[in-house]
Amino acid sequence: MSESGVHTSERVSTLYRKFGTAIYSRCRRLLKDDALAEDATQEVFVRVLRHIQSAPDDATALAWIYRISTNYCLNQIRDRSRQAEPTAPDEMPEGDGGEVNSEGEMMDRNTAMKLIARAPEKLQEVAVLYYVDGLEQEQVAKTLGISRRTVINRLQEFVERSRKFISRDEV
Amino acid sequence: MNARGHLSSETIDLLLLSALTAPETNDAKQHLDGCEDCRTRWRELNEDKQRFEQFVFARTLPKVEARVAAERGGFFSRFKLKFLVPAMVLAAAAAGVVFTTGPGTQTEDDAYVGIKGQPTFELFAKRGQSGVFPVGPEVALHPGDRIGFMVNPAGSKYLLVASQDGAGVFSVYHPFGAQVSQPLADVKAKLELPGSVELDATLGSERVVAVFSEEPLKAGEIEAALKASTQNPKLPGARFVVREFHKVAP
Repeated sequence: MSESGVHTSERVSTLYRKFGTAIYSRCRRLLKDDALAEDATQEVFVRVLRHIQSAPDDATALAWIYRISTNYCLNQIRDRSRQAEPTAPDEMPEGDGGEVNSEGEMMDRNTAMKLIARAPEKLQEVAVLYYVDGLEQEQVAKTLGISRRTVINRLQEFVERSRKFISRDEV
Repeated sequence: MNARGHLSSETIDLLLLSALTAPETNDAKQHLDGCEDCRTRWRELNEDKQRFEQFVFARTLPKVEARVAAERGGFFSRFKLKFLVPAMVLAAAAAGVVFTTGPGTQTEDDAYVGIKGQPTFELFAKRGQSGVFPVGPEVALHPGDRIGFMVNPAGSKYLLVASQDGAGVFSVYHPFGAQVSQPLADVKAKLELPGSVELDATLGSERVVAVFSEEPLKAGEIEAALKASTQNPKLPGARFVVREFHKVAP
């Protein structure tokens, strides 16, 4: 390997060691499967590498990691759900775990993920960043490159859909 | 702490990376002491770190390196770049390029990045017979390195890539030597621009700019806009994406 090749390889290794945990942990949390999370970590890292190499700070690098890993994992979840058997009613989220309070906040991250998996694609990444990651609306907007108004609208739509879903399930 | 009374994932991740300021670190640790939910997430993240470093990293690094090498190796060959026309070498000599700063471009695997509407501009370099690598802030380029360009026009119909070095010398890199921006073959896809520039022996810094537009723009107007403000050039109908470079001796 040339000197430059060694240099590049070392840099990739250093960045992978540094940011790999954030990617792996996130994929593990979203996919809930260790083997899938391991595969996803490699895929996401290769896709995000260019961005974290040129990111001016770790916060910017993390924003790219959140954005790309969220989209990647949501795609994986969608692919899995297309192949899966339809969910039986008793596997639907329980109303008490998925309650939306008066401020429209989902109180349980696992339940939020179940609801997110059933939401339309355009609402999913916003809901993950807000409810699962606990980012502020402004941070979600910055991470996804959309306006805060769009974030608010999508969160409202997600909450309304979730309320209907939960109440229907309770019936 | 976010408005919902917990630490966000970003804060917890930055804490693990030791990337928070001292006051932020104190605040975060203080919150962890008193919040069971966040403490659980912090513990989970540390467990994931252990698992990643002990097992996943070693198991997956060779595959990651192979993927990265394959992607970089394919960059120039995909473009069918014909490195260096002598005239371009001379032009680069008058320009002196090298390493980028600023927030990363908004390219990448667009299906996962999910950005639409923002034109992007990326630079890659090739050194000797080694693979291609992206030009980032921590990468210093050397005389003799070759740089190539990748853009995503995001619907813009015309493009011109130019540079302005520290001495204010203006050069058009793509289309090389053109007096006016040229139409793009595909306005919606990420494009690897044909040709590349071999860096001359001049050391220093300079800015390279991709100028996207709906109508053809004159190189002279772009030069004037850059001279007025290299940080934030403005020209009616133009969308600028600016990169800054430095070149150092090997």
